[in-house]
Amino acid sequence: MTATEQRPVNVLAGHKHVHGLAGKVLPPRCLSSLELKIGQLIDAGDCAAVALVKEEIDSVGTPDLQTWAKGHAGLFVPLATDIQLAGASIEARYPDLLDPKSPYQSADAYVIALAQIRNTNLVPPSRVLLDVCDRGGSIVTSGGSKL
Amino acid sequence: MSVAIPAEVNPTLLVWAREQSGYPAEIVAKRLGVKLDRLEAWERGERKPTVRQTQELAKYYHRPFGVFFLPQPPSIPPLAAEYRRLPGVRPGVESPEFRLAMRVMLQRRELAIQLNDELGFAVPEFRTAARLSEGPTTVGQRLREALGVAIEQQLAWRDEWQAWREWRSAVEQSGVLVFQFPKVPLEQTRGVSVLDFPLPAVGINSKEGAPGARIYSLLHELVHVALALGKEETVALRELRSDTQWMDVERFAEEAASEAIIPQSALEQQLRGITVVRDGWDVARVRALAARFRVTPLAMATRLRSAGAMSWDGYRQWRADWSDFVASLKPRRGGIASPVDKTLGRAGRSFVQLVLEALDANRITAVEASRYLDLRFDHIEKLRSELTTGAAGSTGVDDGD
Repeated sequence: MTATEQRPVNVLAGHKHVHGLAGKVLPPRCLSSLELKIGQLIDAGDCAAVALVKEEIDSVGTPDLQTWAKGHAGLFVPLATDIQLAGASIEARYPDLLDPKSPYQSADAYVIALAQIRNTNLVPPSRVLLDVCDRGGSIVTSGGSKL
Repeated sequence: MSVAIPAEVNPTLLVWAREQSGYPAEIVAKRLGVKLDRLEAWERGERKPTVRQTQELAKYYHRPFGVFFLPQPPSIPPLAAEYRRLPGVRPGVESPEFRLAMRVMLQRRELAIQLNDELGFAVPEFRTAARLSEGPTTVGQRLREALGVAIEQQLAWRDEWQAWREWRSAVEQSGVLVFQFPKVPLEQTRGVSVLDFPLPAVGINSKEGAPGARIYSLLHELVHVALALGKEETVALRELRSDTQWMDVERFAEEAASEAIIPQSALEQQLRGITVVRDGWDVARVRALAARFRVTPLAMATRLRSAGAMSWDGYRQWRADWSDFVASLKPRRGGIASPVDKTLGRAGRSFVQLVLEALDANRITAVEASRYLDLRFDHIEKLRSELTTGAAGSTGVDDGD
């Protein structure tokens, strides 16, 4: 099972977008339309996140978000071999993305891996992702926007 | 994830993570619901676990999933190079519970330093060094002075829970992080210190039910921190004293902690108002005196003995009476700690405050804040409010055990 042959889609970097960034930056009236649009993208197969993001949501997300994630199971892409290897390779290149002493996994490297493999946009960056993009520069390719 | 995808893990890392966790293979296999042979085959590289099984391993070992894909085991100092020598813990063969408690403490301490730096705050510096040659009374007095706890203030505290919060806050303000850890049997340790400067950390076993006992453990650990700063003791891995010599250091710490919590002058003043002949102390009288200082009766009896108000024989008799009294009590009824109480109890107010400030300043994400505080994101606002009102932890269920 690989993720390489699928058409380009947006890769949702995690619920930081839905809850963290959106909740802090956007006015509340925008949130419902944002959620609706993300839902439409997911239904159309134009939006994906690695399964580790679901783990993150299950672990620290709000009950609302957990319910939302459960209702959008199609969003989450299993960690196929190519994603595993690409994620591990990114973590090896950017040690800041993996702290072996930490008790939990950040999905960041695997989200980047999925975007790389699908040759697509990465939405949106966390601070670490920004650092990586600044240094790597070629992770986001498909939509022309470099985040 | 319905499809069983094999995980391309490095078997060496499977062994490393298990050994670092302290769990034997049998326990891990049982926990994962696989045969021991299967786990051993994974660790030899003869078979591969599925992604789901690898995630389960990561959860059980409290390691990031990605660690199993590293080309070689990371170079991490042994835990015993961080914590003080403990009579009940052998360096290198610590229990899984103790290992996890230490790792959480160390990670929080590292985060605290990092967040202080990111926010442009100066890391508070603990400066009270102690020497064994000074004697425990002098050291206890100096520590109390450094903490700035006035005796009038102490005698006016409402109850032992308030006393615990006030002592803890005073220690945190002096530049020492204070955490509580669950699940470690008391026989292993009641407290532990991380002897790294700046920002050393003290961990208190939350199985210690009485707040007065936690206070005593806290001050006991603080003495060890002060001795480490004075170069009188070092981390468990490098501490070379014999067991007998080490017990002398432990006794020193006990006496200094007693003096810090119950100063001789304040004790004498209280004793002037009580007519008890030497060794005439019964359980009720010691309890009444202990309540005034917001300490446990056992700590008070120990203090009376060290102050000369009890002989060793009288002390032994009192302890026997005390044990009978405790055995006659109904089992303690624990309340249910809220998630916010647990976070405040375990991580401490100063660490929580720091994480919230970092979140507000957009230095960390909501996910990171939730992870650092071990709290779901929707509880963060309640945590913020409890932090302001100071109500949390007043119920005696702030440990989450």
